[in-house]
Amino acid sequence: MAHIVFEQVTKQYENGFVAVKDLNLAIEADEFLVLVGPSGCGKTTCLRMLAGLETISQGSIYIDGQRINQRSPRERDIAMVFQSYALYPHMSVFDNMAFSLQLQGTPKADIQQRVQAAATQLGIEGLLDRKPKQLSGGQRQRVAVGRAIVRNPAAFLMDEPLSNLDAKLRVQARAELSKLHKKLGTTFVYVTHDQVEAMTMGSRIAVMNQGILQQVDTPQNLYKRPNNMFVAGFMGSPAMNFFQASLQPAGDQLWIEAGTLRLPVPASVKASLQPYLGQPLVFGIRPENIYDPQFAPPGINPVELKATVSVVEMMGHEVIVYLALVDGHEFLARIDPRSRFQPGQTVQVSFDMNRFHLFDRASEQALV
Amino acid sequence: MQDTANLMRLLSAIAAIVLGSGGIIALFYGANWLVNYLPYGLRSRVLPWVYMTPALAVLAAFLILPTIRTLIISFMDRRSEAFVGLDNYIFAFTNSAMLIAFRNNLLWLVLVTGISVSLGLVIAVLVDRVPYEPLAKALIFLPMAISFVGASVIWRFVYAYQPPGFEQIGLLNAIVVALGFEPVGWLVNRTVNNFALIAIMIWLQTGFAMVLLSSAVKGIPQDVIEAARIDGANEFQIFWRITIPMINSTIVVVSTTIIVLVLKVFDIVFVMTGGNLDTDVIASRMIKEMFNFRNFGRGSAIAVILLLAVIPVMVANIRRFQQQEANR
Amino acid sequence: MSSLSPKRPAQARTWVDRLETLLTTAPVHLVVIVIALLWTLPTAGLLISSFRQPDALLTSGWWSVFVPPLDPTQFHLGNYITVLTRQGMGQAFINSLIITIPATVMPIAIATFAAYALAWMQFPGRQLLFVVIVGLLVVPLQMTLIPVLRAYNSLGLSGTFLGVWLAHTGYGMPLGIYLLRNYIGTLPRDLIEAAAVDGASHLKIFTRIVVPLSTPAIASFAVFQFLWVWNDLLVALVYLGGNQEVAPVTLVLRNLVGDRGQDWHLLTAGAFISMVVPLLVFLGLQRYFVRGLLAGSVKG
Repeated sequence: MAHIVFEQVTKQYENGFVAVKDLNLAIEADEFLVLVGPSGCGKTTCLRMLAGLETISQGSIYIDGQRINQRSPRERDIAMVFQSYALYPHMSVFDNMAFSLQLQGTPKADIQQRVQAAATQLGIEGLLDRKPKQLSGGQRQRVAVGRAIVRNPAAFLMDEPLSNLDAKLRVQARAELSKLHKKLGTTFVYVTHDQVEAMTMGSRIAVMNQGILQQVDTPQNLYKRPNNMFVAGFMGSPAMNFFQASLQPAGDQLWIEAGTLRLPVPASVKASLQPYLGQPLVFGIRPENIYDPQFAPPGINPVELKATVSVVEMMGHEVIVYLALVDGHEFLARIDPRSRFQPGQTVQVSFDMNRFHLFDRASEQALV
Repeated sequence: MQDTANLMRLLSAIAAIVLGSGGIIALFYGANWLVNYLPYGLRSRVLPWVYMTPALAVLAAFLILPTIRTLIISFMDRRSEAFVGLDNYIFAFTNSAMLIAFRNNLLWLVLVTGISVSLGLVIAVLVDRVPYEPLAKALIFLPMAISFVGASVIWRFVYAYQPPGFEQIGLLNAIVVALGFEPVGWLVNRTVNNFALIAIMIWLQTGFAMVLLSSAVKGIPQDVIEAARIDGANEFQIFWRITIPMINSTIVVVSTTIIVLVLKVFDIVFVMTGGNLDTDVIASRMIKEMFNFRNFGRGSAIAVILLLAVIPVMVANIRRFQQQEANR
Repeated sequence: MSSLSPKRPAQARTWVDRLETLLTTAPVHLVVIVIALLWTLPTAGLLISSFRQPDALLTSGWWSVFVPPLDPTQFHLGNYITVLTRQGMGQAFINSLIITIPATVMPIAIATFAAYALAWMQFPGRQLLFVVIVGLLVVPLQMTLIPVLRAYNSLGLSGTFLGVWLAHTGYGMPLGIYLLRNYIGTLPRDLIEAAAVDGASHLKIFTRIVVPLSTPAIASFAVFQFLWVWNDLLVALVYLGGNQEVAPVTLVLRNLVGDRGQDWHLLTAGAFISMVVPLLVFLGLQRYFVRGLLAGSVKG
């Protein structure tokens, strides 16, 4: 149950590469914080600095108010689950889980009891005598988690712990980790490149790109109100569609003009957009906010426009349609499976103008 | 009396072993314990050197510093009292005994390396096809475990010579006589004695070459061989066009290892002939200069020549290592 | 199930096939068997001879024992007893053990620590140091004999076990560090870091994770170094000099060749005594020895 603070943390490697730049981040006690971003964005470096596996070039990290920059990993009271699980191949499952307790000099009976309890909790009590080699991928993952929980640490650090599981197990393990977090009520810091994992598990998500923290917020807010184009494009699958655009007034109406597109700005946001008239902007809309007019739900603000279907991917519960505007600009829509769109057809699609995003083209920051 | 003396000896032997082996481990534990009293930042900077220092100390004391010292001595007179310039080197490259040693060393290098590697390769390829492969390999590899001195005694016995008319107890002469020839003094006859010594080294090193090459041969993916077979290659073509090119790097490594070993070989010559009768090699000349003639200047110069001879191998090793690191 | 009819031709084909295989593989068998025999005969001859009577040895070849009538009484242990008790081979055997065991353990300990530091600790000059060690791999011993001997003479280390231990430790160090660092360097980084997060100090990571996982490489180097030291003549000759009290088997055997060159009953028994330990080590631990050779030479 640790309160973790990154204060202006920078990591620069000896070769000059800056992996993390001026990171400020406060992680509340008991929080499940997910660090997410594309590979090489610095998220793992953050975790490793927190664990003490990587030195901190500048700035400070505090755990419960204590500056820990100069502490060795073992003096930080944290446990970590590695992507490869890093189970000690020469030790049994029991010894793997007991190792940290043995190093602390915990009495034998105590170790026995704690390992047993953790194993029962994870459903691996039957595997305690086995060697890691004899376990399946899912079992190894549980042992790795078990090794962390026996310690009862102030914080759990997890570095892509699910990426070596197959898709089905991953969904299951996701739910189990969430449950575990609720049960233990300890701080979790979880690194992943998978935005689905981030959205489903995190109580808050920190999105990173190129060493810089982009936005920290709850999954809902992050999705609804991305700070910038990177966050908007990274969270959500398929990714948000972007169109180069500008705002033009006509009559008493504001229009978003993007190539051949001309979309009316809803009256509710008109006032706040007034300052950006004529500036280079980017218009963004998520595929799920584009509809086949036939199946558009009530309560949206549809603007119909013409597009040509190039590819239709039937997913069962939804259809991903690749579309192109008259000017050739391509975009994706995620529409109702009952839709009859066929490749080659020119069709009408509806943009929900209650759910669009506008960004400044130069700074890539969100306007509304 | 005799018994107690032996017992004492045994006890002191055990004490020596325990002290020699345990002392070094105690040293590491002691140093580590001391370092734990340093603050973390300092500790992580000091600890690597605690682990490295004993290794660096013995490397410096037994390899680096003596090598430098030998370089210096090689330019000085027999007692290392006066600087003599290149005299020792001029001696080394002009003296007739030295020239014979150079010739012999060249002979050793070419024959031992060439025959061990090619024979080892042939065995490696053939042995892959027989069901008793492990036994055959173990038998051929076994001499690797035998010391040069032991091997020398074994082969002295094979080369043993009795005058014509007497029963030959040496295997080789027994065969020669059985074939109707005169027995040969293998170690004294100047036309054959060098080859007799070289044969011992080949006997010792072929197993080494075979084992390394065999594992390289086994490392060739089966589907490459099968693809070649489907392309119409016969066994010989597969050997020359697939096997050899694919294990080329291993052949180079094995060859250089044997070259370095042969350059330094001294024991066989020293035990078998003492370097007499034109059988000296560079390394045995060096021991002679050092011990028999007490000329440390010349001995050092000969050692330096040996070092110069292995420098290309050293450079190649370092290059190979750096590539390997870059690929990590 | 298929009918019976195809079975017979199949059987016939197998038989022909077998004959054909035999004929085509016969040369292979022949070559392999002949070479294996050739490689074994010299040692076998020595072994058989070492059990024969001294005068029988000098008057007939060892192969004559196979000529009928086979007479088990022509073999005896007398040569071994003589060479062990009267020629100093017994003492030499103990000396060899005293020299070899610490001269194997010491470099293992030192090299493993150094290899761990080189592989997993951060310090300036790490790469350069390892390059130097790779270079030292092939430096001829001869380069070091004179200065070390002089130093030993002035320190009183020549003719002592300590002197030989240290010398072998130094000479074995480059190979040991090279072999072990290559192996330890391939251990997964995650394991080392997991142990650090689990609360292990460097020494604990070393003893609990690195050493247990590196046993194959350590065993390889141990076998290699053991054989090298046991079989060594040069280092013993130079640093132990004429001190018979501390001479190992190789040195005593060499002196035996010089002094009693025609006493084949002593030479054969003596040679076999000097060989028995390495042969046992080799036969028992061949796997590690081969792996050591492979790791040391073919890697990369």
